[in-house]
Amino acid sequence: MDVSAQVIWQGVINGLALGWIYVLMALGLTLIFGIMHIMQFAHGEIYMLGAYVVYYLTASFRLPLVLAAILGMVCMAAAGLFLERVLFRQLKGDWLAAVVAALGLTLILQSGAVVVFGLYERSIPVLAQGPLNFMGTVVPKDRGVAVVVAVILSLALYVFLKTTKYGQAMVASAQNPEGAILQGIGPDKMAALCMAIGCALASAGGTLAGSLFALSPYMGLSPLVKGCTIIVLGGMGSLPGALIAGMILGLIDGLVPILFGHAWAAIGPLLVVILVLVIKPQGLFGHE
Amino acid sequence: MKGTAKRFAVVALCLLISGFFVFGADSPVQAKPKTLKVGMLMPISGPISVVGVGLTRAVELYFDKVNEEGGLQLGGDTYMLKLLPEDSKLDPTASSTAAKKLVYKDGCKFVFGAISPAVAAAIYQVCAKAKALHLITWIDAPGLPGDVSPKKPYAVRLCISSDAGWEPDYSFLREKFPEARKLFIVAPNVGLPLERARKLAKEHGLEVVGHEIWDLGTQDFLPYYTKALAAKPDIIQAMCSAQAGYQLRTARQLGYKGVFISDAPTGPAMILSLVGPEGSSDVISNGMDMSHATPSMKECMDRWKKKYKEPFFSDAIITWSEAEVFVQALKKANSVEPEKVVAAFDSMTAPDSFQTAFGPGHMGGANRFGVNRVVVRPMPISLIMSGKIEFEGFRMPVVDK
Repeated sequence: MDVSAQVIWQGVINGLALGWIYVLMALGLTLIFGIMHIMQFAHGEIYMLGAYVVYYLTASFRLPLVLAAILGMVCMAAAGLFLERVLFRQLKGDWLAAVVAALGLTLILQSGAVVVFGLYERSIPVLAQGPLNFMGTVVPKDRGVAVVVAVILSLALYVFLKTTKYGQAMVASAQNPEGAILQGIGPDKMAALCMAIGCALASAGGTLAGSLFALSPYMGLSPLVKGCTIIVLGGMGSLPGALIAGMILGLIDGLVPILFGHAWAAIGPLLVVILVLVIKPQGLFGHE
Repeated sequence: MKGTAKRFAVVALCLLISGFFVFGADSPVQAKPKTLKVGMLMPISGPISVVGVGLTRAVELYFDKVNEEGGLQLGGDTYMLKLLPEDSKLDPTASSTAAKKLVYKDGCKFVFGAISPAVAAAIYQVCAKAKALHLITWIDAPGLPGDVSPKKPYAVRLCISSDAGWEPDYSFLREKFPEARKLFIVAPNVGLPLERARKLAKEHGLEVVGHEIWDLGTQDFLPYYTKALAAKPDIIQAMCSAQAGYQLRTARQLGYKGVFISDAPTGPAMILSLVGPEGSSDVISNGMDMSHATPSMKECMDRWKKKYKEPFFSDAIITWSEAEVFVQALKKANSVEPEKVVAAFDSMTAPDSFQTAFGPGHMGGANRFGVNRVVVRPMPISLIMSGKIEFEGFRMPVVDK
């Protein structure tokens, strides 16, 4: 079947929409890596738990989706604070122990989700019904809403980091931890803050994905892999890098299946990562 | 002295009563029922465990019913049925190991399973060597190595494959939507005979304008439907997919307004709940509308609600019905020997040879597969129009063409 320009354009729009959802996941991961210097492998499970919290708030308590999504983010931020305080703070400085703890946490949360939520697929209510005519092409309205939400949250994070005292303190802590301590910035406080923000963003990503697709206790794995790929591609700890890499991955997922088939879509991101790492080992926006 | 005699009499009476119960229980008149162990291999862990667990529970529920009714009288013995579920993990190697445990360690002569054709093939290899009967529980694409064949004397298929429903579906489509002609197929990568679909579609005055194949595990159907809608179809057929609801939602979100066929057993209520009334119109579904459940299906639902806290999994009626057919074959064979049970299945080719939860059925498949070892039973058709489910009744699938 010939692929028309219209279909390619549709693929681009869809890809960018997917990219923004990936970015929400990757921003949290890269923030945690930048400040705490750990790879939070259980971030996918935070994404999954956030989506389930929103599901139960909408299905059992009949809360409106927006309110449920905000409450989900608050719950997951609290979970992030708890994890930082009782788990990761104890393992500070021992990256291997932190990685093992994060992997163990992944298994515990995933198995716990199977027991508590059961194996039945559930779905968060759709964000919006019907198609949206955008720049001469048809895209699902729910993806349009997902992009708007993701852009707002990413911009909010940017504004927070650039303009607020705590945001600047987080940036300072990530760029020069010793210098930040000398300026009176507590590393534990920054770690707690970045875990809370990262987990809240993951919850938002899980809510958006749970509305577009289905909820399952195993739903966190794929976005975690995407998130890890994005932060390696964009440069470890770089927020602009995560943004650009998220868009690249989204475009690969949106366009490659249409142009070259689905098998290439699976290996495309890996080929791009290998290519970028060969040319620029520190990633697109990473530092030496 | 008088008191001692009285005490002696009481003790003697107690001993006599105890002796009656102890020795009476082993008397030849009250023979102890035997246990017929039946194995079942399903993916009861992992991403599609919801299906595996649901299908396994339904067989257990049917066995509970048989046992509550006093078990099965076979060859002069009473048998209580015991299901031994094992995890297939959707993996042929793991399934082979589990099947060996079932037939060699547990002594199962009958093994239900599985979902994937490769797993079904692995189970058969073990069963055939042990001369145990493999009861094929679920199959998407017919004719693959996991299916029945004249070279497989220890395999019987208790289910109909989704392709057997294409002919009645296309006939129904032409009755209800005579103006719709251009068909686009979206199918999973499980080896479905798409050429057969093209041929049958043509016979019914339909033109297949394209197809898309998706890999198992796909969550985002947008790229597939973006390409599908570029072909401007009047009808989209989502073949053999438990995610038909998500597929329809994607198509509607892209502005598709045409007819949608879901030939999987996913219930129309599930599709409606996922897509919402706005997008649920002109939808043909082969899933059972449980508001029109047969008495047998209702019993399955009632038993499920009593035994499990999770909501009823509507696909469970499929294996409930399969267990029902298996029990009838055992009764007909009047034996627990796999060879005799296979012979009983082979003999049930006349219409209405046995009852299923969906209605009367029979064995078929000789013209297409070389052996009459495929259960042919009615399949439901429902129409969803303007957010309302209209149950259209049952139609016989075409297995032998």
